[in-house]
Amino acid sequence: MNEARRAVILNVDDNDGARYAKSRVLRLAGFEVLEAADGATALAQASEGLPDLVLLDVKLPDISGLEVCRRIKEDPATASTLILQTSASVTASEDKVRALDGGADNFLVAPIEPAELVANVRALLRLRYVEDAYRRVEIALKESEERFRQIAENITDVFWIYDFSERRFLYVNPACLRVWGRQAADICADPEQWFSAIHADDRETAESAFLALPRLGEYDIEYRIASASGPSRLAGLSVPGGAMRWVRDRGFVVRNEAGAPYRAAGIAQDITIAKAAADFLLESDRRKDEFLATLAHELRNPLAPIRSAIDLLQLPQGVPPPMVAQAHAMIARQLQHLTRLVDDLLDVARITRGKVNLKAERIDLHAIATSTVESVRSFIDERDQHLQVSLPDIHPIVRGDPVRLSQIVGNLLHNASKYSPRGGQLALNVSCVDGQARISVRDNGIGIAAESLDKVFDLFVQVGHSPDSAQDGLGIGLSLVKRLVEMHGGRVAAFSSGGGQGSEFVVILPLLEESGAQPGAAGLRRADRARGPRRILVVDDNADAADAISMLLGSSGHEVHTAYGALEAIEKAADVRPEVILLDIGLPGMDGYELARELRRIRKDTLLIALTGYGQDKDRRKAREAGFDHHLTKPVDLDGLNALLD
Amino acid sequence: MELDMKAMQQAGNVVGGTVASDGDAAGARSILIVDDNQDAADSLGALLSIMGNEVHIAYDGAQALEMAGELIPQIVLMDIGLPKMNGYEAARQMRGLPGLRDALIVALTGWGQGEDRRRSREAGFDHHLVKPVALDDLQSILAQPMRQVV
Repeated sequence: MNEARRAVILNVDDNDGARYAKSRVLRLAGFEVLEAADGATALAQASEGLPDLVLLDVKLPDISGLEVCRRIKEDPATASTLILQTSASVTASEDKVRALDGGADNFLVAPIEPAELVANVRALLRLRYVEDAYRRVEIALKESEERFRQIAENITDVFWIYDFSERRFLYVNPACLRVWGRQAADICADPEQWFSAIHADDRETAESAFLALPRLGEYDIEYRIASASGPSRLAGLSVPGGAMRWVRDRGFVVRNEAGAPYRAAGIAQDITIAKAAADFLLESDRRKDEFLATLAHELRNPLAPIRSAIDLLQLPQGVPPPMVAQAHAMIARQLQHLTRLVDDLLDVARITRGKVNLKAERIDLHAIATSTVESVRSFIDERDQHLQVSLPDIHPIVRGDPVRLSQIVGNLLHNASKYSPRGGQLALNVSCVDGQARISVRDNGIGIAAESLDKVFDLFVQVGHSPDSAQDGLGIGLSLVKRLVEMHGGRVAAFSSGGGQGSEFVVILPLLEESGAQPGAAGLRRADRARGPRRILVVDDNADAADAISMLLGSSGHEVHTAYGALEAIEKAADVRPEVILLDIGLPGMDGYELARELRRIRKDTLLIALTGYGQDKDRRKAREAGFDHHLTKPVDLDGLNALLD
Repeated sequence: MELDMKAMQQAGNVVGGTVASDGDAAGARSILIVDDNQDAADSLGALLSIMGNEVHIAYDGAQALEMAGELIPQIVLMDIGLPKMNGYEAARQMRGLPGLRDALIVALTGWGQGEDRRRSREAGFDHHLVKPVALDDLQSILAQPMRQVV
């Protein structure tokens, strides 16, 4: 009810005189007065004029005043209208009971003193005013509560209210299910549910902060939730500890009017992503520092022998000539090592910043494999390791950059060799599998622990490396491989059964076509069998000699495979099915003639050429008997060899 | 040992199978060089032997420890990152060997941060030199007073 507005009174009485008298009294008292002389008019006025109070006489000509009262109170539109029923004294006591039963707010017996009338009307209006105010507050409270509920139930932060005297949570919003992994109802029923979800290492901190709230007034702490549900990878960052979450919980006391703390409220914010991001930055920073220390170490290591060799060469007392030669060789070797480190560094910087453009040529991966093997051969040989190269008949043709593809294969081979023992076994296989090109590099080296398989491709990571173990390199080779493979639209994965179990790295590249017969590919066309490129196996235990002749033949367009021992020769003869085998007679472990008979058994139609330092007639005869088609004496005359190949 | 013995014999510094001093008692030291980078070990070895010292070379930590026990060198110049046994451990164990308590054990490494120096001191190294080492620094190490050769 608006106080500024004058209250409206509907005065209902069929007696004109009595009605007039009452209206006059009410108007004089400051009320606005409507009038009705019968029940029907009274009902119409009540619903149209919306009076605050109806002064209603019981005796009406059409409808009884009691009935009018009942109908006004029944109609929701007028139900809140106050009704002051009046009646003549003759029937008063009977009417009073019925009137009040019918919903009247009060009852007066005529004749009514003007002061009594006004006082009664005012009393009823005052009562209504208080009722209305109360109802408005109630509605406002309900709305406020609804607003609070809408906010609390929709925010992602956990909001809670705790009561100190009841020792329980009065309210926890539904976000606690996602962050705490607990139902709000369960936490409200048992506060232990709240604390038991906190990580064991942080629980004491959280509990003592909570208990100190009444004394300290507030807290702002971070702790971990151990049992939360929800995704473990967020925004591309891996969240530490899987489903574990970090929260920032800010609690404060709520005081009663006397200023005594009686409740606590707080907001626990899920800061898992922020924490993960911060950890990621810290880790990146740590890795950068470690890399710089490693870089210094790796650059200083080749500098040391260079420095010593130069000091040696500068000694005033002079140095014997063989030692001068050795010093020169050392400097050259270490310089090459340094150059490689620097090249790798520059490469990784350029590739990381996306400054490398790939050529897109049709490339035979077998040709890449063959040439790359040649380039890493000396590194592998130095470590007395055995590399088995298997290139099945079908040539995988891809679109790519030959320099970068060679770098991929080279880095994988280099890596395999580096992490394998002296005398270790390495294998390279390049083939077509399921419509894709597949490059596999296997070794029997130190292997990779399962938890590190993903990390080996990260920049500057050397799995298993620590400053006090012997090491070599910067941890960028595999990172380069991954980026280059991805730039070629492929993918690379590492496999290992664990430490000491060896490793396998597999590169998958999109296949342009499979080819045994494409022009430009190293394969042979049937029509050209009489002339043109041949698949040749060169067997010599002197790696330098084998490599030199392989290079020579390779540069003439032949597909060349090499074997440095008898067993490898037998394997390769079966594997690559050479059309021509060039075989050094003086191999360790197996007599050359014996080996020739074995190779002849495996490859009946292969052209078998003996390559020896011996050139006497009886040697030629023995060679013929063993199954050789031809016999050449070292050093080989290239023209003579080409004549035989044609 | 990949030192060119023939070359050293020509230089007149080799007695029997080992590289020995040329008799200059004041300057001659018995030195064990340990580095898995063979070029580094060999070049330093050649340098120091031509300068008149008795030089032995090991390429890993375990071999270094064994040779140190047999040869009781006055000076050990040792890398930290070594196969089989790292330099810290090798130095620690050398300190426990009879005759090596007073030897001059020097770290010769590419690791040069404060933490690395602290660790090598704890392991019992007397000095921590960062590669590449200047000849002057080496000579001042060699010029330190030594106990007499056993």
